Amino acid sequence: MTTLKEATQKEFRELTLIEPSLKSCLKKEKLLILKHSVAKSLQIDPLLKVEISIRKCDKLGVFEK
Amino acid sequence: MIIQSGFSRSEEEVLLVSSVLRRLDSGKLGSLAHRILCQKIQYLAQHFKITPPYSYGLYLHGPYSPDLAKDLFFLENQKTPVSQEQFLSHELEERFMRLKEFVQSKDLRSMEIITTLHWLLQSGFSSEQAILKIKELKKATPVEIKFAQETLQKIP
Repeated sequence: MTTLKEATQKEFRELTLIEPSLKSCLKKEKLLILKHSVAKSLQIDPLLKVEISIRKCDKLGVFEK
Repeated sequence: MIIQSGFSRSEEEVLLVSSVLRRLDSGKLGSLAHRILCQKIQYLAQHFKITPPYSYGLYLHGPYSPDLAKDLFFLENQKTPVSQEQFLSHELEERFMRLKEFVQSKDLRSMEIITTLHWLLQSGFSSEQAILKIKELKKATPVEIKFAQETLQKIP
């Protein structure tokens, strides 16, 4: 069964597919340099979507090695 | 995306909304005035693009989102700790600071009139129709309407 942490990890990886510069977040933890061009199809502001995702990852310890 | 039961959207999104409210000395639900303030600040916050958007209808005290009310009450009942950390992105934090400046100088009545006028215009009312409606709904004075019109320019 997929855990919430794993699901979050998957969701975050999907975001990195949309915006490759996000990959650095996984390696450099919270170093976040983003542009507005993430994805026009997302229902909310892409920058906000990423912020929420990062916070969720932080909360679940996704960044911990 | 995983949506937890009880919230109208993901818990992380609700936590972000609550975090922004608390950073603006709001987020309390104990009185009608507190709840109205939460509704108005979130309405503005989503237009400043620092919180996920809720669907708003027009009620007696201006724009109101039943889903937001439900989510905030559910979060409070859960007693989940709400962080008040800054945004990670500089741009989001700058947007937050603009909202803070906007909110700090307004009382509750001003917020009601400004957000009501904004909602009416966004919903397709012409400027003249919106002014007539706000006079009817809020008994707004010409001075209050003029102030609201000028202030609307600062909402992105």
